[in-house]
Amino acid sequence: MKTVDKLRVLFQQIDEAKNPSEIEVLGNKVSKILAENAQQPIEGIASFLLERANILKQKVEIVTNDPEVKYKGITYAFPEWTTIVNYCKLHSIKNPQTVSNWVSRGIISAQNVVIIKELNDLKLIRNLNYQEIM
Amino acid sequence: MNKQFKVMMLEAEKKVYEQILNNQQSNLGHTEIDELLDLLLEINKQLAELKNEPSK
Repeated sequence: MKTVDKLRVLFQQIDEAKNPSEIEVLGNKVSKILAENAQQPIEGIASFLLERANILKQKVEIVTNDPEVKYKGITYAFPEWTTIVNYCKLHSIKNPQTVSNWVSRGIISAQNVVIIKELNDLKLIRNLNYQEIM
Repeated sequence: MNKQFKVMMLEAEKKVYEQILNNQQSNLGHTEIDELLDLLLEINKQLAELKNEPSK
């Protein structure tokens, strides 16, 4: 496995981490991999890190902008749940209509989508990789 | 997960990049380092604003 692919796996685990300590442990693993490869150029590392840092920036923006939605006694909040537009940003899907169509055609499993009629049919999607939500 | 906890998660993730920048600059060019620094500065600013928001 290429070094950048190993890092990709670790950053996916960071996305799914449950608490800051888990992120710290994974961050140390990232640093270890980079240290082991410090003497040779790592193909694609710069673009990968920039891509990931941009994702972090988007996550910060989403926390800044995304309200927590309480519906039928359940709180739906980022990062577990997000809007279709933010889901597309986070998962590099160009057109939000694609995800909207997945919802209307029932392609996304019912447990991974919430449609809130009271909020003008606001759709929230579970923030998982798109293969996992179908 | 409340907003304060989310900010802590984001802070932890931001530290991963700071660690990378502090230790692994040999694998990055000047332009990439500058771009990463710019992004981290923006992220820092936004996180600081989030931390200063009154809790809801």
